[in-house]
Amino acid sequence: MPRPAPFAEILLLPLAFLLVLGGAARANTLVADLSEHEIKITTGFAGTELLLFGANQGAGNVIVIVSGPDSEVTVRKKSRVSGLWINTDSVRFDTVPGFYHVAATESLSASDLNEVLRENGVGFRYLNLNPADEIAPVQAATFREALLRRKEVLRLYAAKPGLIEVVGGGLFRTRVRFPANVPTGQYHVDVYHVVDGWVASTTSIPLTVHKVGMEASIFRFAHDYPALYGAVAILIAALAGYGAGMVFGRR
Amino acid sequence: MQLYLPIAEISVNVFLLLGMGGVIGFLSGMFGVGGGFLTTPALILIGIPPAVAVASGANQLVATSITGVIAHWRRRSVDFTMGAVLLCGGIVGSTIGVYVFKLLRELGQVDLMISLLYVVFLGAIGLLMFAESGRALLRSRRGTARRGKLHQHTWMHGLPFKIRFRRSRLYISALMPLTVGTLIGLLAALMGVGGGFIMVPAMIYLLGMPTSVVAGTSLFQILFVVANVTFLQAYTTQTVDLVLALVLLVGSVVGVQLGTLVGAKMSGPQFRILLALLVLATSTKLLLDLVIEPADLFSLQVADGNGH
Repeated sequence: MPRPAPFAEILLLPLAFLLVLGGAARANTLVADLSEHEIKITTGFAGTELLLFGANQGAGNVIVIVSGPDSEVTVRKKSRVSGLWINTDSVRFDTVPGFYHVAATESLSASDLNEVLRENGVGFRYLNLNPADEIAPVQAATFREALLRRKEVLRLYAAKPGLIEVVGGGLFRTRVRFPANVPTGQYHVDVYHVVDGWVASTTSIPLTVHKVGMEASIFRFAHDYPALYGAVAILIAALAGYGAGMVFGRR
Repeated sequence: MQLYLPIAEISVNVFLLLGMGGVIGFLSGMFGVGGGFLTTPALILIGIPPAVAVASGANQLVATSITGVIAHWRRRSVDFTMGAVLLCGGIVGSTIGVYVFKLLRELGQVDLMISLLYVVFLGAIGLLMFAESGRALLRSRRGTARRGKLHQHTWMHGLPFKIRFRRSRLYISALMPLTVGTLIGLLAALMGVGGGFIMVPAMIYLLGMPTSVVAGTSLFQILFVVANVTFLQAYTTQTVDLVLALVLLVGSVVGVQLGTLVGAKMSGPQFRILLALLVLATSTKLLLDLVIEPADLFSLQVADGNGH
């Protein structure tokens, strides 16, 4: 999917400005929106980038947290058993966001950001990642670090927070990159306006990631009618093989 | 050009897949094996989840084996009686295999099992083939070709339920091909392969079938076994990626034709040595992966296998 064209941003920013002027009567107003509210996974999907833009009233900083659908994840650890590296330990985490991205305005220093995130219980390292079963805290921490690290490798979590650009007049914008392996489902996009280390106001933007067209049909078919799908898969392969045999066999 | 695979849920370069299909098809056309034992590791190497690689590999083999069976059927080199008996065992074995596969996946040991089976079987067969073809090559150089005993009688020939296999010119107990078929069906389901590279030696050395009917008969039974595996994987684990299988197929159809032409120009022992080296290289690579300490000891498994 192509990146949003620059002129789209030019059009969107005044729009955001109008939004904030409209709501200027109330104090501490925070408005924000995304360039798209759905990401469509098509045959040629190779990741995409969305523009998040908005405006806030008064001083303070902005933090954006994008988190994908939760799922159960098992983290496995290999160790050496008679010369071979084999999965031996595993820890299960019940609710792990499939995608997680944090962005903040530049004037919010890294230590301040961490402080704010921790105090409000929302940050990257403060995700509510608790093992499903009771285990020693040290072991839980090791596996939690491993989970975050593997997610970073898959580019589903970012190692460092992204940057929110402040354009002036309370306007801000940031880009959120979604890789090709982005999980499908309902996303939460939360924008926080932080004043003196406390969240003054928040707003949420809806975002859905879903497969469309042929990809969606094939996936639904495989999961809704597994027996029929199996039969069709065999039939298609058989016809292709038969066709090839006929075409090349005639010599 | 990137292509998003609906079941594997990753996007891959379509030319890379076509090329892979082509190279594997070329090798399988050249050596007369299904090529499944190369497809699965290659797919895993480019990042396809192992479960999807195994199931979609089986789906692709349905097509390749049908092409092969047609060619052999024209040359009347398929022993249908033998194929049917092997098949009965194959269906039982592959059904058990699919369920064992599902069980191991829940235990988190499926990758280990796939790798171990590959290392053991590819390693053993590669070594045997290398030794055998090396001796054959030396013998042909010295020009002292000796014929071994044509037919050896062992305890296996005392088993009941004897059947006459006309095209193979054999009169043996049905229990033998039934057992061979079951074991190979089991391996096929666990490794995502047709089992040709195990079946062919087993037919020659265990059952004593003449070489002329071996390839066609093994392809005939493999066709049904891989169809069964495809169906059961689609039904129980939903890991058959039709798009992936079809792209591989297009590449391999072309590759097979080129491979057959090249293969026809080589001498028997020469090509068996090359095949043995290929098999040994694959198994060594997989063995090293098991033995060398991985860069990250941790790995993730998202519930449901597909990230949902």
